[in-house]
Amino acid sequence: MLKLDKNKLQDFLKAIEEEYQIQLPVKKADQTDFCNFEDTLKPNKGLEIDLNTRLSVKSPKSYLFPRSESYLEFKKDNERLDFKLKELTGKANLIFGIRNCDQESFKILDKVFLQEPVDQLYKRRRNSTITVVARCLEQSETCFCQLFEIEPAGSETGADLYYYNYNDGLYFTAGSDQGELILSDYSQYFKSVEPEIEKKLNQEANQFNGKITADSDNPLMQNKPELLYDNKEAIFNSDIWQELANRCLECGICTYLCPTCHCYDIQDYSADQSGERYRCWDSCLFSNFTEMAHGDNPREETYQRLRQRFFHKLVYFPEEQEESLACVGCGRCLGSCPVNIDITEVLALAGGVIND
Amino acid sequence: MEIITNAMRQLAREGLENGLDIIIGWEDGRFEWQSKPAFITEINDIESLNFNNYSLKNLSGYLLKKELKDKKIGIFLKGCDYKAYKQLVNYNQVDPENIQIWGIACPGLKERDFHGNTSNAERCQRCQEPVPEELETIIGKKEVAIQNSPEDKYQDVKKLESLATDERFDYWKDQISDCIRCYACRNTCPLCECTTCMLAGGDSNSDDWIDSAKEFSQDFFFHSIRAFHQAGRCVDCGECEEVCPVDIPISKINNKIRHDIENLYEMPEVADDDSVMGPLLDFREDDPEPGSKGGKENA
Repeated sequence: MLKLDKNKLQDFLKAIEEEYQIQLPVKKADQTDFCNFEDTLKPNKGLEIDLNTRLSVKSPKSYLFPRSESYLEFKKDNERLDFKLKELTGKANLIFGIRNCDQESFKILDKVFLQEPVDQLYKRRRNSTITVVARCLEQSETCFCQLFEIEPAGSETGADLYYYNYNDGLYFTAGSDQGELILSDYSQYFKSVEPEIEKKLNQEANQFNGKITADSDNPLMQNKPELLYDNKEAIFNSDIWQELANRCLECGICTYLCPTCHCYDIQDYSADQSGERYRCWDSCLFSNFTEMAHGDNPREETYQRLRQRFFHKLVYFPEEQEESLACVGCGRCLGSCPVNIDITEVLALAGGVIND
Repeated sequence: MEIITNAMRQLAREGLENGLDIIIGWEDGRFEWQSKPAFITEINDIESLNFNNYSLKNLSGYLLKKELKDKKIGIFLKGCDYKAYKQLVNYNQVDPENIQIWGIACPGLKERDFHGNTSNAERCQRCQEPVPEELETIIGKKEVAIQNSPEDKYQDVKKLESLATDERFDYWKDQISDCIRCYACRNTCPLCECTTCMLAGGDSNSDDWIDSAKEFSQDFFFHSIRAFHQAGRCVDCGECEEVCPVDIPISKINNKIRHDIENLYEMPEVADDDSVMGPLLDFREDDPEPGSKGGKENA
């Protein structure tokens, strides 16, 4: 374990900026979200690095799977049509201070995009992304990552670096060779750590990692996430979807803030003789998501679209991906849905269906 | 709050007993700082109705849901919600025959920011009509203190107007660049009543006026055109700004237009009945055109 004094953080980040494009949580007005480190150095922007707020407004998935990404240029020249694939240029991304729930969400995205046929757009970003996880030693009221067997204080591997945010320092350990390399290449910024502090932090982490599963009082953790999977038919055909659909606004907040939602659309931006092809996020809550070219829509009604979202995460995804559930319990849906529809409420309602 | 909640349950009970199909009100959310719309069809569920400090959600927009067509509905409306409802009636979007409205004298509500700090809701700070006085039944204490004078409610707009054009553009560029185009602002707006939005989300993406790509120009176009479409109709219920997950100050755009309508064209910010032509329908030769070169600044 190595310590970086908090008052050296900016110098350290400036040093590694030579190698990496750094993204980190930043306080802007009343919110905290990931932002480019460079921007925090501009005095008139009013941005302040914020390593204390547990979760960012948006998930950092956009660094692997951008909101929209233009990847192909095409041009018509007389009878000839030319295509050019856009290269990914610039430095590798280093995402500093993500929480372990978001780190685990990358594993879910990997399953989607890195299995055959491999998604080359995702792969090239994934391969040039370094993650630095901030270990959680406390939870917010909207957290339920442990319901999905995620360890909030992090494990040994998965991310490239892990740190504890404790008193005046950040206490780092490496989770990969790349992480080791950063710790040794920039060793001048790090100090050794007294064994008592290292022991204390590790103990706290172990305790916290095991804590909430045994905590039966947490209202968010009352229902097993396998409920839908185990009772597909009864829950699929139940009234709970219409009940939720009554108030659903059919906006894209849940899907766009969610770290594991990964549906997209491919579109062209075209002028007369040339254009670009891009992909952009899409949402299963939008009515045109499944609209067919001939006009039919297999999910015409709101309740069908809502049901699809939760069935995808808790039934269809595990069916295809060795029982892996596609939720990490970050709680963004809990905090951001304007009409309070969230995955823990769905589980509670589903539990009611089964117990009836 | 308790007085309102009790009266709400009582009226809902009478409503269902007297033949209403569905009651639209609020119930508590999972956390103390939440409140969500409730749709009650059974007398047994009436006890779940609750009006709390966070019952901001303007319920009038739900009257547009196609599932509710031809249903006999009872609905609770605060001052701002009622203003939106009147616009829906003006534009023939709802049939008042099928709707029983109960007014709520709104005491002013709270909002909670991303970091968990609570304050008086901004929309309530601007509100001039918390009590829907015209309604026959109003629950709650009718004497509600107005938090700001009619002119003060435009202080944010005036602050922006005082900036140089470049600074103003930078401000909006910074704000609107955060847009993720979730369309929550449009979907929650009680007066965005089009069943198919021409800007985005139409039957086929190629019909959309804006491109799905996340580009500032597209985001800017979306927000500005939506604001123009609401000119003379927006009642400043603040729903759009409330739901925005990235805190874009959408109300400032709408309020700039409301302020201009009143000041430049001497029309009411919102036309109260259909005898007044809205600003987008009315044209006078001597209309001021402050935006165009050589245009008249004032009427």
